[in-house]
Amino acid sequence: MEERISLMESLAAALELGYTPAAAIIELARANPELKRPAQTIATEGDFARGLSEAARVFGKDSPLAHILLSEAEPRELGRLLRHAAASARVIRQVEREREAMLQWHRRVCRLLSAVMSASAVIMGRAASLFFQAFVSPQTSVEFSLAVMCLGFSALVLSEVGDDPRWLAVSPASAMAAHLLMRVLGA
Amino acid sequence: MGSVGEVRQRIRAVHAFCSGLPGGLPVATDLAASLAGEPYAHSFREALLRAAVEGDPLERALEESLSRHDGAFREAILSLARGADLESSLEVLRRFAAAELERESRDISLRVGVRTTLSYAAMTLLVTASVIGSIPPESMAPLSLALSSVMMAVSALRWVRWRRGSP
Repeated sequence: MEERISLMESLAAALELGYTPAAAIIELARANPELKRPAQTIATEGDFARGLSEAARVFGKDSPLAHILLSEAEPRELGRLLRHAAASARVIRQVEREREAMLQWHRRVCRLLSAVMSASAVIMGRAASLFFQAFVSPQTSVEFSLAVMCLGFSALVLSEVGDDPRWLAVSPASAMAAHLLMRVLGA
Repeated sequence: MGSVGEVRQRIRAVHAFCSGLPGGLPVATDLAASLAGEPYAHSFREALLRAAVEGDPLERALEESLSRHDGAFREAILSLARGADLESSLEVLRRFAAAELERESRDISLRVGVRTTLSYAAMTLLVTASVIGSIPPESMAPLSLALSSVMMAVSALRWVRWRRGSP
């Protein structure tokens, strides 16, 4: 994204120097190979609109580039518009970073919740199983059932924050650790 | 509570509007109408149409067509429309985005809290029911499997939505 913003600023600078949008794209393509194709479309085929839409793709689908350059303002005004668009894109990039950090924090909390939930479900299941074995039937155990149920709940919690599904492995691992701990403690 | 991509949609709409501001209010509104997602783009289109057909000033048309959106969004757009200079327009965008992130964070905390509480409540209820004999202990396994499968399917859909919404 940083390269795209710098490219947008370079384009703005070229426009502010008085280049037309077409000339600015052709000029920039010399130093930026990603703009070669749009520049070629404009220079050799003379199709400014298609070249511009190809250039807009280089700048990303949310970029206001094509809309700005297709307006009928004079190049210096277009340059001013683009410079402001680049500045606001910088703000958005910072916001995206902050959002990612915020989501990352929530993801860590959810992994922890998933682990704690699975461990406590197995402990609860073990207590219930001990009760069943004492009063109902020695074969009855609900630990595994609760661990399976907890896997579903963990998926629900982890997907809430868009965490990597591989972190779902935390749930059975934690359930297994709790089970082993109960065995070690003699329960 | 906002859905997965709602906050990004809102920020994107204000960003598009802000990007077009140096070209004047019509350019900003047009840019937002083209780049924002629905239902925000629709409101900007409606404002342009209202200004063109009924001859209302664009600022008033925006005020009316944005009335269906919440206060924070409306305020951000209208304060940009009321002639914020370029530097302060970036500040408006920054403040709006920060408030949106805070709102999203609060929503996520609330949803995770609700899910965790429901999970514990469901497990405790099932274990208690089987201990007191309301449901036979043997039915715990199929019940858990069924519940888990449903939750896995719901989660898979959510993961797909997150993947689609990621940049």
